[in-house]
Amino acid sequence: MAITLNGSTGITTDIDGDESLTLNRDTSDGDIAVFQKDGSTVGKIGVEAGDNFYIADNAGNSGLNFKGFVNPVGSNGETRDAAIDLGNSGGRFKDLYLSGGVYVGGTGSANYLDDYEEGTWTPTISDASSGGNTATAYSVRSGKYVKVGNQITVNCYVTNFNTTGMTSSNGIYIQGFPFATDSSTQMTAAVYNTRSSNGGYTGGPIAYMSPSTTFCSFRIFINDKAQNTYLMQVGDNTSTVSDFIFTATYICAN
Amino acid sequence: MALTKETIEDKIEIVGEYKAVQVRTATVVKEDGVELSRSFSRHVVQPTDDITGESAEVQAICNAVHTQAIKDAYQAMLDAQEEV
Repeated sequence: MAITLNGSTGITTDIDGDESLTLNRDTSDGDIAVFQKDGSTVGKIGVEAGDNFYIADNAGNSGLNFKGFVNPVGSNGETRDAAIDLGNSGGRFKDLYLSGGVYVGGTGSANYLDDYEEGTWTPTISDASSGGNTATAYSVRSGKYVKVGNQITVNCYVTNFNTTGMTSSNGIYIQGFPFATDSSTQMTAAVYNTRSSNGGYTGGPIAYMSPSTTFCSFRIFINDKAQNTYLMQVGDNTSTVSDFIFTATYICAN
Repeated sequence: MALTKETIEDKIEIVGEYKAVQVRTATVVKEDGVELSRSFSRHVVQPTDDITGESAEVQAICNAVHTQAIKDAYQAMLDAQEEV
């Protein structure tokens, strides 16, 4: 039976307590409903591969099907891999909320970006890598971080730290990094360090984090042919006037 | 209109060979119960760190994962690093 209507009103159903419209296609895959304008097909709803429900346009060869995940498809509901954009340069979505991550440039674990985060951390000047005596005051004591996947970028900004009570002959450390370094990687970074004696050596210190740690020490190359380094000491810095400022990037532990 | 600010430890992770306990503290500002902003601050508790200033939850986690064997291994690693 076919129902043909002419006029300004199409089909309206008004049923309470049951489906208003049921469209059944027996056995074969294909379109269940076809939508037209001026007699030309513009879109379809159908089934593909047995029970994959799809919605697709006709001319653009694009649509979606639903098979436990949402899949890009062509006009007949068939999967189209790596062919359909989500949004475009003049028609962008706004925010995207994900509880998981995204695969960029490939589908392997190395292509998986699962985390992004910005925040703060509190640098602590100390005379030991763990615990120890710590600076009693700072003019500025600020730390910021950005985490992209397992890559951490930290900014450390401490000025005029007071070393009263710290052991002058001990190494000087900054504790409190926001993430532990990976077990097989280190971090090094050039440091802006003012009003220090640098142990009598020329050149500025380099911040150094060893694997699996959340502190850095400061090393100075001592200009011997072996390129040995000197571990900067608390006493190399002038209390209440020395600063440590640097930005560093490292790989964090998972 | 009621503005509220709360600080919560919203993520605690145990990472790496030496079971570093990474704590994320979120500062959440709400207006009439609707979240307006959420900012993060982080710190890490290593096996040899003093945990007396940590929350009860973090202390419990540290006590569970920072066994004496882990503490000894971490300290040995630090001692070895000092020689670099």
